[in-house]
Amino acid sequence: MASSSQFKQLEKLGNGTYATVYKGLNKTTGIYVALKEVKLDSEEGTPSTAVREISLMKELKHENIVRLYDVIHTENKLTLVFEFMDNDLKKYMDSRIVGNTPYGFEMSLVKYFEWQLLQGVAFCHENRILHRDLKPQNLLINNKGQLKLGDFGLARAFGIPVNTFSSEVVTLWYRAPDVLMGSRTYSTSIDIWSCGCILAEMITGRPLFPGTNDEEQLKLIFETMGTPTERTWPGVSTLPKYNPRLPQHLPKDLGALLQSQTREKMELTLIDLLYGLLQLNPDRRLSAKQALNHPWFAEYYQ
Amino acid sequence: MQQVTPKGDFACAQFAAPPSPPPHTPDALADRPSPALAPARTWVRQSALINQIATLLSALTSKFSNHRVNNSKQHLVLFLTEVLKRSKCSKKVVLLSIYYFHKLYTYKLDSITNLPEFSRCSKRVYLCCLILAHKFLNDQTFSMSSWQRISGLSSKDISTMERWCLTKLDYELFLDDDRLSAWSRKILVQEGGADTLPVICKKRASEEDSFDLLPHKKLHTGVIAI
Repeated sequence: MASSSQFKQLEKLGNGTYATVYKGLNKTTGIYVALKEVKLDSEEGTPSTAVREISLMKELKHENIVRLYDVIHTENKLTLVFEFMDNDLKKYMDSRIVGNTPYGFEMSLVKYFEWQLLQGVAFCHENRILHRDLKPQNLLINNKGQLKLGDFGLARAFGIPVNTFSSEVVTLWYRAPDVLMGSRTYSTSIDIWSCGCILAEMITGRPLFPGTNDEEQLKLIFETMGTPTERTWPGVSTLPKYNPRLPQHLPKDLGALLQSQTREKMELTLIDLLYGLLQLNPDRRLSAKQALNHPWFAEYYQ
Repeated sequence: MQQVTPKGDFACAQFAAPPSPPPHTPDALADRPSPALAPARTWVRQSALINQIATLLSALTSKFSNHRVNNSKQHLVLFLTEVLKRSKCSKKVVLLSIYYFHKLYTYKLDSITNLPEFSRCSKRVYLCCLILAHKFLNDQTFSMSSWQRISGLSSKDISTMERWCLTKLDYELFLDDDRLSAWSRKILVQEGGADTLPVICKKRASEEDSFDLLPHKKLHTGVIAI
Protein backbone atom coordinates (compact mmCIF):
# COMPACT_ATOMS: atom_id res chain seq x y z
CA MET A 1 0.00 0.00 0.00
CA ALA A 2 1.17 3.51 -0.79
CA SER A 3 1.79 6.14 1.83
CA SER A 4 0.72 9.74 1.55
CA SER A 5 4.33 10.98 1.69
CA GLN A 6 4.80 9.42 -1.73
CA PHE A 7 2.60 12.10 -3.28
CA LYS A 8 3.00 15.82 -3.57
CA GLN A 9 -0.35 17.56 -3.33
CA LEU A 10 -0.86 20.21 -6.01
CA GLU A 11 -3.83 22.39 -6.91
CA LYS A 12 -7.44 21.59 -6.06
CA LEU A 13 -9.39 20.14 -8.98
CA GLY A 14 -12.87 20.12 -7.55
CA ASN A 15 -15.35 18.64 -5.14
CA GLY A 16 -16.84 15.19 -5.68
CA THR A 17 -20.02 13.89 -4.09
CA TYR A 18 -18.32 13.30 -0.77
CA ALA A 19 -14.72 14.37 -1.20
CA THR A 20 -12.22 16.95 -2.42
CA VAL A 21 -10.05 16.17 -5.40
CA TYR A 22 -6.49 17.47 -5.84
CA LYS A 23 -3.94 17.06 -8.53
CA GLY A 24 -0.98 15.15 -7.18
CA LEU A 25 2.48 14.11 -8.23
CA ASN A 26 3.87 10.68 -7.51
CA LYS A 27 7.35 11.64 -6.35
CA THR A 28 8.86 8.26 -7.12
CA THR A 29 7.55 7.84 -10.64
CA GLY A 30 7.03 11.48 -11.67
CA ILE A 31 3.52 10.63 -12.84
CA TYR A 32 0.57 12.93 -12.19
CA VAL A 33 -2.40 11.49 -10.31
CA ALA A 34 -5.75 12.70 -8.96
CA LEU A 35 -6.00 12.48 -5.17
CA LYS A 36 -9.54 12.15 -3.89
CA GLU A 37 -9.58 12.94 -0.21
CA VAL A 38 -12.34 11.95 2.17
CA LYS A 39 -12.19 13.37 5.69
CA LEU A 40 -12.99 10.71 8.25
CA ASP A 41 -14.57 11.01 11.64
CA SER A 42 -12.85 8.52 13.92
CA GLU A 43 -16.25 7.46 15.27
CA GLU A 44 -18.19 7.23 12.03
CA GLY A 45 -16.32 4.47 10.26
CA THR A 46 -15.70 4.51 6.53
CA PRO A 47 -18.53 6.15 4.52
CA SER A 48 -20.48 3.61 2.49
CA THR A 49 -19.98 5.76 -0.62
CA ALA A 50 -16.21 5.28 -0.27
CA VAL A 51 -16.58 1.59 0.55
CA ARG A 52 -18.61 1.14 -2.64
CA GLU A 53 -16.48 3.32 -4.84
CA ILE A 54 -13.25 1.58 -3.87
CA SER A 55 -14.55 -1.97 -4.00
CA LEU A 56 -16.36 -1.47 -7.31
CA MET A 57 -13.58 0.44 -9.05
CA LYS A 58 -11.09 -2.24 -8.10
CA GLU A 59 -13.13 -4.58 -10.29
CA LEU A 60 -13.49 -2.24 -13.21
CA LYS A 61 -10.31 -2.19 -15.22
CA HIS A 62 -11.19 -0.76 -18.60
CA GLU A 63 -9.76 1.94 -20.85
CA ASN A 64 -12.97 3.98 -20.55
CA ILE A 65 -13.11 3.90 -16.76
CA VAL A 66 -10.77 5.97 -14.63
CA ARG A 67 -8.25 3.65 -13.01
CA LEU A 68 -7.97 3.50 -9.23
CA TYR A 69 -4.28 3.03 -8.48
CA ASP A 70 -4.19 2.94 -4.74
CA VAL A 71 -5.88 3.66 -1.44
CA ILE A 72 -4.33 5.34 1.58
CA HIS A 73 -6.46 4.81 4.65
CA THR A 74 -5.62 6.42 7.97
CA GLU A 75 -7.71 7.18 11.01
CA ASN A 76 -8.61 10.70 9.85
CA LYS A 77 -8.31 10.61 6.10
CA LEU A 78 -9.01 8.28 3.23
CA THR A 79 -7.21 9.08 -0.02
CA LEU A 80 -8.05 7.44 -3.31
CA VAL A 81 -5.28 7.68 -5.86
CA PHE A 82 -6.69 7.85 -9.39
CA GLU A 83 -5.33 8.12 -12.88
CA PHE A 84 -5.00 11.82 -13.74
CA MET A 85 -7.25 13.25 -16.44
CA ASP A 86 -6.85 16.72 -17.95
CA ASN A 87 -10.46 17.84 -17.87
CA ASP A 88 -14.08 16.83 -17.51
CA LEU A 89 -16.77 17.03 -20.15
CA LYS A 90 -18.70 19.74 -18.29
CA LYS A 91 -15.74 22.12 -18.10
CA TYR A 92 -14.86 21.35 -21.69
CA MET A 93 -18.37 22.19 -22.86
CA ASP A 94 -18.38 25.38 -20.77
CA SER A 95 -15.11 26.44 -22.38
CA ARG A 96 -16.87 26.43 -25.74
CA ILE A 97 -19.52 28.96 -24.76
CA VAL A 98 -18.97 32.14 -26.78
CA GLY A 99 -20.66 35.14 -25.23
CA ASN A 100 -23.87 33.51 -24.06
CA THR A 101 -24.16 31.08 -26.92
CA PRO A 102 -23.20 27.47 -26.27
CA TYR A 103 -21.77 25.45 -29.12
CA GLY A 104 -21.94 21.70 -29.45
CA PHE A 105 -19.00 19.60 -30.55
CA GLU A 106 -18.10 18.64 -34.09
CA MET A 107 -20.11 15.55 -34.95
CA SER A 108 -17.02 13.34 -35.19
CA LEU A 109 -16.09 14.23 -31.62
CA VAL A 110 -19.67 13.73 -30.39
CA LYS A 111 -19.56 10.26 -31.91
CA TYR A 112 -16.16 9.38 -30.49
CA PHE A 113 -17.12 10.54 -26.96
CA GLU A 114 -20.50 8.78 -27.01
CA TRP A 115 -18.85 5.59 -28.27
CA GLN A 116 -16.37 5.65 -25.39
CA LEU A 117 -19.09 6.51 -22.89
CA LEU A 118 -21.15 3.53 -24.01
CA GLN A 119 -18.08 1.26 -23.96
CA GLY A 120 -17.46 2.20 -20.32
CA VAL A 121 -21.12 1.79 -19.41
CA ALA A 122 -21.35 -1.57 -21.21
CA PHE A 123 -18.34 -2.79 -19.23
CA CYS A 124 -19.94 -1.73 -15.92
CA HIS A 125 -23.18 -3.46 -16.85
CA GLU A 126 -21.40 -6.64 -17.94
CA ASN A 127 -19.85 -6.67 -14.50
CA ARG A 128 -23.24 -6.11 -12.92
CA ILE A 129 -22.48 -2.63 -11.71
CA LEU A 130 -24.71 0.42 -12.16
CA HIS A 131 -23.04 3.82 -12.19
CA ARG A 132 -26.19 5.80 -11.29
CA ASP A 133 -24.63 9.24 -11.64
CA LEU A 134 -23.66 9.70 -15.25
CA LYS A 135 -23.36 13.38 -16.17
CA PRO A 136 -20.79 15.54 -17.98
CA GLN A 137 -19.00 16.45 -14.70
CA ASN A 138 -18.31 12.76 -14.07
CA LEU A 139 -16.95 12.04 -17.53
CA LEU A 140 -13.26 12.78 -17.58
CA ILE A 141 -11.37 13.52 -20.74
CA ASN A 142 -7.73 13.99 -21.69
CA ASN A 143 -5.82 15.69 -24.45
CA LYS A 144 -5.81 12.49 -26.50
CA GLY A 145 -9.59 12.69 -26.81
CA GLN A 146 -10.09 9.76 -24.45
CA LEU A 147 -13.19 9.75 -22.27
CA LYS A 148 -13.46 7.81 -19.02
CA LEU A 149 -16.17 7.29 -16.43
CA GLY A 150 -15.33 8.62 -12.99
CA ASP A 151 -16.95 9.16 -9.60
CA PHE A 152 -18.49 5.85 -8.60
CA GLY A 153 -19.73 7.25 -5.28
CA LEU A 154 -23.33 6.38 -6.11
CA ALA A 155 -22.59 3.16 -7.98
CA ARG A 156 -23.75 -0.22 -6.77
CA ALA A 157 -23.76 -3.85 -7.71
CA PHE A 158 -27.05 -5.24 -8.89
CA GLY A 159 -28.68 -8.63 -8.85
CA ILE A 160 -32.14 -9.88 -9.47
CA PRO A 161 -34.52 -8.52 -8.30
CA VAL A 162 -33.48 -5.09 -7.16
CA ASN A 163 -36.21 -3.88 -4.89
CA THR A 164 -34.09 -2.03 -2.37
CA PHE A 165 -32.68 0.75 -4.45
CA SER A 166 -32.94 4.37 -3.55
CA SER A 167 -34.70 6.62 -6.03
CA GLU A 168 -32.53 9.53 -4.87
CA VAL A 169 -29.91 8.85 -7.48
CA VAL A 170 -28.56 10.55 -10.58
CA THR A 171 -28.35 14.32 -10.86
CA LEU A 172 -31.80 15.65 -11.80
CA TRP A 173 -31.14 16.63 -15.42
CA TYR A 174 -29.92 13.13 -16.29
CA ARG A 175 -32.46 11.18 -14.22
CA ALA A 176 -34.73 8.74 -16.05
CA PRO A 177 -38.52 9.31 -15.97
CA ASP A 178 -39.19 5.95 -14.26
CA VAL A 179 -36.80 6.91 -11.44
CA LEU A 180 -38.39 10.37 -11.22
CA MET A 181 -41.73 8.67 -10.75
CA GLY A 182 -40.33 6.73 -7.80
CA SER A 183 -39.40 3.39 -9.36
CA ARG A 184 -37.04 1.38 -7.20
CA THR A 185 -36.80 -1.57 -9.52
CA TYR A 186 -34.66 0.12 -12.11
CA SER A 187 -31.64 -1.54 -13.56
CA THR A 188 -29.14 -0.83 -16.33
CA SER A 189 -31.67 1.32 -18.20
CA ILE A 190 -31.12 4.08 -15.60
CA ASP A 191 -27.63 4.69 -17.00
CA ILE A 192 -28.80 4.51 -20.61
CA TRP A 193 -31.21 7.42 -20.17
CA SER A 194 -28.29 9.53 -18.91
CA CYS A 195 -26.24 8.49 -21.97
CA GLY A 196 -29.08 9.79 -24.17
CA CYS A 197 -29.24 13.14 -22.35
CA ILE A 198 -25.46 13.52 -22.58
CA LEU A 199 -25.49 12.70 -26.32
CA ALA A 200 -28.06 15.44 -26.99
CA GLU A 201 -26.09 17.89 -24.84
CA MET A 202 -22.86 17.24 -26.74
CA ILE A 203 -24.69 17.97 -30.02
CA THR A 204 -26.19 21.31 -28.96
CA GLY A 205 -23.99 22.40 -26.06
CA ARG A 206 -27.16 22.77 -23.94
CA PRO A 207 -28.59 20.38 -21.37
CA LEU A 208 -31.57 18.57 -22.91
CA PHE A 209 -33.90 18.66 -19.88
CA PRO A 210 -32.65 21.30 -17.39
CA GLY A 211 -35.34 20.97 -14.71
CA THR A 212 -35.11 22.62 -11.31
CA ASN A 213 -37.20 20.09 -9.37
CA ASP A 214 -38.70 16.61 -9.86
CA GLU A 215 -42.00 17.92 -11.18
CA GLU A 216 -40.51 20.34 -13.64
CA GLN A 217 -38.03 17.69 -14.75
CA LEU A 218 -40.86 15.32 -15.68
CA LYS A 219 -42.75 18.14 -17.33
CA LEU A 220 -39.78 19.03 -19.54
CA ILE A 221 -39.27 15.38 -20.49
CA PHE A 222 -42.95 14.83 -21.36
CA GLU A 223 -43.23 18.08 -23.31
CA THR A 224 -40.57 16.80 -25.68
CA MET A 225 -40.98 13.02 -25.58
CA GLY A 226 -44.79 12.97 -25.08
CA THR A 227 -46.75 12.11 -21.96
CA PRO A 228 -46.71 8.35 -21.39
CA THR A 229 -49.95 6.40 -21.16
CA GLU A 230 -50.75 2.81 -20.22
CA ARG A 231 -50.83 2.10 -23.95
CA THR A 232 -47.35 3.51 -24.71
CA TRP A 233 -45.83 2.34 -21.41
CA PRO A 234 -47.70 -0.55 -19.75
CA GLY A 235 -47.44 -0.28 -15.96
CA VAL A 236 -46.65 3.44 -15.86
CA SER A 237 -49.76 4.22 -13.81
CA THR A 238 -48.62 1.87 -11.03
CA LEU A 239 -45.43 3.86 -10.35
CA PRO A 240 -45.46 5.47 -6.85
CA LYS A 241 -45.36 9.08 -8.03
CA TYR A 242 -47.41 8.70 -11.21
CA ASN A 243 -49.74 11.67 -11.65
CA PRO A 244 -52.86 10.84 -13.73
CA ARG A 245 -53.72 14.52 -14.13
CA LEU A 246 -50.59 15.37 -16.09
CA PRO A 247 -51.23 17.43 -19.23
CA GLN A 248 -51.19 15.16 -22.26
CA HIS A 249 -48.39 16.18 -24.62
CA LEU A 250 -47.75 14.58 -27.98
CA PRO A 251 -44.14 13.68 -28.77
CA LYS A 252 -42.20 16.39 -30.59
CA ASP A 253 -39.79 15.80 -33.44
CA LEU A 254 -36.58 15.43 -31.43
CA GLY A 255 -34.41 15.49 -34.53
CA ALA A 256 -35.80 18.82 -35.73
CA LEU A 257 -35.60 20.24 -32.23
CA LEU A 258 -31.91 19.44 -31.87
CA GLN A 259 -31.10 20.30 -35.48
CA SER A 260 -32.37 23.84 -34.82
CA GLN A 261 -29.70 24.19 -32.15
CA THR A 262 -26.67 23.04 -34.10
CA ARG A 263 -25.02 23.87 -37.38
CA GLU A 264 -23.76 20.31 -37.78
CA LYS A 265 -25.86 18.09 -40.00
CA MET A 266 -27.56 15.39 -37.94
CA GLU A 267 -27.71 11.99 -39.60
CA LEU A 268 -30.96 10.04 -39.49
CA THR A 269 -29.17 7.18 -37.74
CA LEU A 270 -28.14 9.57 -34.95
CA ILE A 271 -31.75 10.60 -34.40
CA ASP A 272 -32.75 6.95 -34.35
CA LEU A 273 -30.10 6.22 -31.72
CA LEU A 274 -31.30 9.14 -29.58
CA TYR A 275 -34.82 7.72 -29.62
CA GLY A 276 -33.42 4.31 -28.64
CA LEU A 277 -31.63 5.76 -25.62
CA LEU A 278 -34.41 8.14 -24.60
CA GLN A 279 -37.33 5.70 -24.52
CA LEU A 280 -39.63 6.69 -21.65
CA ASN A 281 -40.42 3.05 -20.92
CA PRO A 282 -37.21 1.63 -19.41
CA ASP A 283 -37.92 -1.82 -20.89
CA ARG A 284 -37.77 -0.36 -24.37
CA ARG A 285 -34.51 1.52 -23.96
CA LEU A 286 -31.52 0.06 -25.78
CA SER A 287 -28.86 -1.73 -23.77
CA ALA A 288 -25.33 -0.33 -23.91
CA LYS A 289 -24.29 -3.29 -26.08
CA GLN A 290 -27.18 -2.71 -28.48
CA ALA A 291 -26.35 0.99 -28.67
CA LEU A 292 -22.74 0.19 -29.56
CA ASN A 293 -24.02 -1.96 -32.41
CA HIS A 294 -26.22 0.84 -33.70
CA PRO A 295 -25.67 1.86 -37.37
CA TRP A 296 -24.62 5.38 -36.29
CA PHE A 297 -21.38 3.81 -35.02
CA ALA A 298 -20.89 1.73 -38.18
CA GLU A 299 -17.63 3.46 -39.06
CA TYR A 300 -16.03 2.11 -35.87
CA TYR A 301 -16.68 -1.54 -36.58
CA GLN A 302 -16.43 -1.71 -40.34
CA MET B 1 -2.50 1.71 12.70
CA GLN B 2 -4.09 2.09 16.05
CA GLN B 3 -4.36 -1.17 17.93
CA VAL B 4 -7.46 -2.01 19.84
CA THR B 5 -6.67 -4.28 22.72
CA PRO B 6 -9.33 -5.88 24.84
CA LYS B 7 -9.37 -4.33 28.26
CA GLY B 8 -11.96 -4.36 30.99
CA ASP B 9 -15.48 -4.74 29.71
CA PHE B 10 -14.21 -4.53 26.14
CA ALA B 11 -12.59 -7.92 26.61
CA CYS B 12 -13.75 -10.48 24.16
CA ALA B 13 -14.93 -13.09 26.62
CA GLN B 14 -17.62 -10.65 27.58
CA PHE B 15 -18.36 -9.15 24.20
CA ALA B 16 -20.31 -6.40 25.85
CA ALA B 17 -20.87 -5.48 29.44
CA PRO B 18 -23.89 -7.12 31.04
CA PRO B 19 -26.89 -5.02 30.08
CA SER B 20 -28.92 -3.07 32.53
CA PRO B 21 -32.25 -4.40 31.24
CA PRO B 22 -32.58 -8.16 31.66
CA PRO B 23 -30.80 -9.92 28.83
CA HIS B 24 -32.97 -11.03 25.95
CA THR B 25 -33.04 -14.67 25.25
CA PRO B 26 -34.05 -15.80 21.81
CA ASP B 27 -37.14 -17.50 23.19
CA ALA B 28 -38.33 -14.51 25.15
CA LEU B 29 -38.10 -12.39 22.02
CA ALA B 30 -39.81 -14.95 19.88
CA ASP B 31 -42.85 -14.83 22.11
CA ARG B 32 -43.24 -11.12 21.85
CA PRO B 33 -45.81 -10.22 19.20
CA SER B 34 -44.36 -7.69 16.81
CA PRO B 35 -45.52 -7.99 13.24
CA ALA B 36 -43.01 -5.41 12.02
CA LEU B 37 -40.15 -7.68 13.03
CA ALA B 38 -41.57 -10.76 11.43
CA PRO B 39 -39.59 -10.96 8.19
CA ALA B 40 -36.13 -10.76 9.72
CA ARG B 41 -37.10 -12.90 12.67
CA THR B 42 -38.46 -15.58 10.42
CA TRP B 43 -35.11 -16.41 9.03
CA VAL B 44 -33.00 -15.60 12.06
CA ARG B 45 -35.05 -18.21 13.84
CA GLN B 46 -34.00 -20.73 11.25
CA SER B 47 -31.44 -21.76 13.77
CA ALA B 48 -30.07 -24.29 11.31
CA LEU B 49 -28.43 -21.50 9.32
CA ILE B 50 -27.18 -19.70 12.44
CA ASN B 51 -25.72 -23.00 13.58
CA GLN B 52 -23.93 -23.52 10.32
CA ILE B 53 -22.51 -20.03 10.39
CA ALA B 54 -21.38 -20.39 14.01
CA THR B 55 -19.67 -23.68 13.17
CA LEU B 56 -17.85 -22.05 10.28
CA LEU B 57 -16.74 -18.96 12.19
CA SER B 58 -15.63 -21.02 15.15
CA ALA B 59 -13.66 -23.45 12.98
CA LEU B 60 -11.84 -20.58 11.29
CA THR B 61 -10.86 -18.87 14.53
CA SER B 62 -10.53 -21.59 17.19
CA LYS B 63 -6.73 -21.38 17.03
CA PHE B 64 -6.97 -17.75 18.14
CA SER B 65 -8.83 -18.52 21.36
CA ASN B 66 -7.04 -17.82 24.61
CA HIS B 67 -8.02 -17.11 28.22
CA ARG B 68 -9.75 -13.88 27.17
CA VAL B 69 -11.02 -14.75 23.73
CA ASN B 70 -13.67 -17.40 23.41
CA ASN B 71 -14.43 -18.45 19.85
CA SER B 72 -16.52 -21.44 20.80
CA LYS B 73 -19.58 -22.28 18.79
CA GLN B 74 -22.04 -21.88 21.66
CA HIS B 75 -20.91 -18.30 22.28
CA LEU B 76 -21.20 -17.52 18.60
CA VAL B 77 -24.71 -18.90 18.26
CA LEU B 78 -26.00 -16.54 20.96
CA PHE B 79 -24.05 -13.63 19.57
CA LEU B 80 -25.18 -14.20 15.98
CA THR B 81 -28.81 -14.66 16.96
CA GLU B 82 -28.85 -11.34 18.80
CA VAL B 83 -26.85 -9.27 16.34
CA LEU B 84 -28.72 -10.54 13.29
CA LYS B 85 -32.06 -10.06 14.95
CA ARG B 86 -31.26 -6.54 16.10
CA SER B 87 -29.77 -5.41 12.79
CA LYS B 88 -32.55 -7.15 10.81
CA CYS B 89 -30.08 -7.99 8.11
CA SER B 90 -31.31 -9.79 5.03
CA LYS B 91 -30.01 -13.26 4.37
CA LYS B 92 -28.01 -11.95 1.46
CA VAL B 93 -26.17 -9.49 3.71
CA VAL B 94 -25.42 -12.34 6.10
CA LEU B 95 -24.14 -14.66 3.39
CA LEU B 96 -21.92 -11.90 2.03
CA SER B 97 -20.61 -11.13 5.51
CA ILE B 98 -19.56 -14.72 6.14
CA TYR B 99 -17.93 -14.72 2.72
CA TYR B 100 -15.80 -11.75 3.85
CA PHE B 101 -15.02 -13.44 7.17
CA HIS B 102 -14.01 -16.66 5.46
CA LYS B 103 -11.84 -14.82 2.96
CA LEU B 104 -10.17 -12.81 5.68
CA TYR B 105 -9.17 -15.77 7.85
CA THR B 106 -8.44 -18.15 4.98
CA TYR B 107 -6.48 -15.98 2.58
CA LYS B 108 -5.75 -12.56 3.97
CA LEU B 109 -3.85 -13.05 7.21
CA ASP B 110 -0.26 -13.85 6.29
CA SER B 111 0.76 -14.82 9.81
CA ILE B 112 -1.08 -15.33 13.04
CA THR B 113 1.50 -13.43 15.03
CA ASN B 114 1.75 -9.68 14.77
CA LEU B 115 -2.00 -9.22 14.65
CA PRO B 116 -4.00 -6.73 16.69
CA GLU B 117 -5.59 -8.37 19.71
CA PHE B 118 -9.16 -7.82 18.50
CA SER B 119 -8.51 -9.85 15.36
CA ARG B 120 -8.43 -12.97 17.56
CA CYS B 121 -12.06 -12.38 18.43
CA SER B 122 -14.44 -13.90 15.88
CA LYS B 123 -17.36 -11.82 17.16
CA ARG B 124 -15.64 -8.49 16.73
CA VAL B 125 -14.33 -9.30 13.28
CA TYR B 126 -17.63 -10.83 12.23
CA LEU B 127 -19.45 -7.68 13.32
CA CYS B 128 -17.17 -5.63 11.04
CA CYS B 129 -17.77 -8.03 8.15
CA LEU B 130 -21.49 -7.64 8.71
CA ILE B 131 -21.18 -3.84 8.69
CA LEU B 132 -19.19 -3.96 5.45
CA ALA B 133 -21.70 -6.28 3.77
CA HIS B 134 -24.50 -4.00 4.94
CA LYS B 135 -22.74 -0.94 3.51
CA PHE B 136 -21.97 -2.71 0.28
CA LEU B 137 -25.49 -3.98 -0.40
CA ASN B 138 -27.87 -1.44 1.06
CA ASP B 139 -28.42 2.08 -0.20
CA GLN B 140 -29.42 3.15 3.27
CA THR B 141 -27.12 1.95 6.01
CA PHE B 142 -26.90 2.35 9.75
CA SER B 143 -24.83 5.02 11.42
CA MET B 144 -22.00 3.86 13.64
CA SER B 145 -24.01 4.76 16.73
CA SER B 146 -26.66 2.25 15.65
CA TRP B 147 -23.99 -0.44 15.36
CA GLN B 148 -22.78 0.65 18.76
CA ARG B 149 -26.25 -0.01 20.15
CA ILE B 150 -26.55 -3.29 18.29
CA SER B 151 -23.21 -4.59 19.53
CA GLY B 152 -22.46 -2.76 22.77
CA LEU B 153 -19.01 -1.81 21.43
CA SER B 154 -17.89 1.80 21.12
CA SER B 155 -18.16 3.58 17.75
CA LYS B 156 -14.48 4.41 17.85
CA ASP B 157 -13.43 0.81 18.35
CA ILE B 158 -15.78 -0.43 15.66
CA SER B 159 -14.42 2.22 13.28
CA THR B 160 -10.85 1.13 13.93
CA MET B 161 -11.68 -2.53 13.47
CA GLU B 162 -13.71 -1.83 10.34
CA ARG B 163 -10.73 -0.05 8.82
CA TRP B 164 -8.48 -2.97 9.70
CA CYS B 165 -10.89 -5.42 8.04
CA LEU B 166 -11.22 -3.29 4.90
CA THR B 167 -7.46 -3.01 4.58
CA LYS B 168 -6.91 -6.72 5.18
CA LEU B 169 -9.58 -7.57 2.64
CA ASP B 170 -7.86 -5.22 0.16
CA TYR B 171 -11.28 -3.57 -0.26
CA GLU B 172 -12.36 -6.58 -2.31
CA LEU B 173 -16.03 -6.56 -1.36
CA PHE B 174 -17.61 -7.18 -4.73
CA LEU B 175 -19.14 -10.56 -5.42
CA ASP B 176 -22.04 -11.07 -7.78
CA ASP B 177 -25.16 -12.97 -6.80
CA ASP B 178 -24.37 -16.12 -8.74
CA ARG B 179 -20.92 -16.48 -7.27
CA LEU B 180 -22.23 -15.70 -3.78
CA SER B 181 -24.91 -18.36 -3.94
CA ALA B 182 -22.51 -20.92 -5.43
CA TRP B 183 -19.98 -20.15 -2.70
CA SER B 184 -22.49 -20.36 0.14
CA ARG B 185 -23.87 -23.66 -1.16
CA LYS B 186 -20.38 -25.10 -1.26
CA ILE B 187 -19.06 -23.79 2.02
CA LEU B 188 -22.16 -24.40 4.09
CA VAL B 189 -22.41 -27.97 2.84
CA GLN B 190 -18.83 -28.54 3.82
CA GLU B 191 -19.08 -26.95 7.20
CA GLY B 192 -22.65 -27.75 8.08
CA GLY B 193 -24.65 -30.92 7.81
CA ALA B 194 -26.29 -32.15 4.65
CA ASP B 195 -29.61 -32.29 6.47
CA THR B 196 -29.91 -28.52 6.74
CA LEU B 197 -28.71 -27.71 3.27
CA PRO B 198 -31.99 -27.96 1.35
CA VAL B 199 -33.42 -25.25 3.58
CA ILE B 200 -30.83 -22.78 2.38
CA CYS B 201 -30.99 -23.69 -1.27
CA LYS B 202 -34.75 -23.57 -1.55
CA LYS B 203 -35.15 -20.38 0.44
CA ARG B 204 -32.53 -18.58 -1.57
CA ALA B 205 -34.47 -18.57 -4.76
CA SER B 206 -37.93 -17.98 -3.40
CA GLU B 207 -37.66 -16.05 -0.19
CA GLU B 208 -34.32 -14.43 0.19
CA ASP B 209 -35.12 -11.32 -1.74
CA SER B 210 -38.46 -10.86 -0.13
CA PHE B 211 -36.80 -10.44 3.23
CA ASP B 212 -36.97 -6.99 4.59
CA LEU B 213 -33.81 -5.52 3.17
CA LEU B 214 -34.18 -1.94 4.25
CA PRO B 215 -32.74 -1.03 7.59
CA HIS B 216 -35.28 0.08 10.12
CA LYS B 217 -34.79 3.12 12.23
CA LYS B 218 -36.07 1.40 15.34
CA LEU B 219 -33.45 -0.70 16.99
CA HIS B 220 -33.24 -2.78 20.07
CA THR B 221 -31.19 -0.81 22.49
CA GLY B 222 -30.01 -3.46 24.91
CA VAL B 223 -26.49 -4.75 24.70
CA ILE B 224 -25.65 -8.34 24.08
CA ALA B 225 -25.26 -10.54 27.09
CA ILE B 226 -22.81 -13.22 26.22
